[in-house]
Amino acid sequence: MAKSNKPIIWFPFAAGGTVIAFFIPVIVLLTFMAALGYVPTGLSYDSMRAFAGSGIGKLVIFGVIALSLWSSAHRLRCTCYDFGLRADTLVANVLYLAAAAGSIATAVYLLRI
Amino acid sequence: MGEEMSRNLGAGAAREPQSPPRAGRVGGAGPLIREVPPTTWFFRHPRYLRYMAREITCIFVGAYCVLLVLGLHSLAAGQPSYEAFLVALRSPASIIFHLLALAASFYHAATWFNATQKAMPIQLGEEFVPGNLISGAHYVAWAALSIVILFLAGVF
Repeated sequence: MAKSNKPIIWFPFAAGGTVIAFFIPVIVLLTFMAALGYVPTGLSYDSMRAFAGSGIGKLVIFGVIALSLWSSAHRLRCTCYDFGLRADTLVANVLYLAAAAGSIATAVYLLRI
Repeated sequence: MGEEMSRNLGAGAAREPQSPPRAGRVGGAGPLIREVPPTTWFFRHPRYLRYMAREITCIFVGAYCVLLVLGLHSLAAGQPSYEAFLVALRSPASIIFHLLALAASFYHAATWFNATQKAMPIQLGEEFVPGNLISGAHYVAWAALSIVILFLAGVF
């Protein structure tokens, strides 16, 4: 069977797409409320600190951000191609590296909490 | 998803602009001449436009994820920093960005759940489970999950 890196790219893309669909709209709604000046109690410093301080909270935050970043990066790569930017290898490297950097930053910040 | 699809769409559009996309050409005589404008092909058919609209949601979702990482950075840096982040969210640019991200994420969710019935059809015995039931179940789960998260966040 021919070797392919597609499963490695595709699995997190599909997982990320599902995570975005289920979680991101409601999270945007929460920060939108904060943007309008009604900060939900769950977004207060103490609540967020307690959530991000727990093991399950770290896991959820990292999972949502890392998978969403990866999925967005992969889709943005395809979108660049569709808009006529055909330097696919360069685009893929830049976007995947950006997603990896964002995921590592997320892990580092979480470990500081 | 996008990559293969767009190449196939492009090839299909080159031969018969009005026809639905077909699988890539296999064999056949002579080279395939692609007269597809690389930057404007998606204006040729409403379905290509809807495809691109779905793809473009990733720009806003990706940017929003960056915002989340910045928020996490401020949370890790201590209370004054986090409070400053919450205040920064209230700028007009942030409110406009949130509206765009809200629209993009809801459009992504709806198209993603609509696609589930094609991506993972379920067969029970001889019959396939109706597609709308599969997508509908995802919508119900989405609504329930969103309500639980809003409740946990103290919205109500």
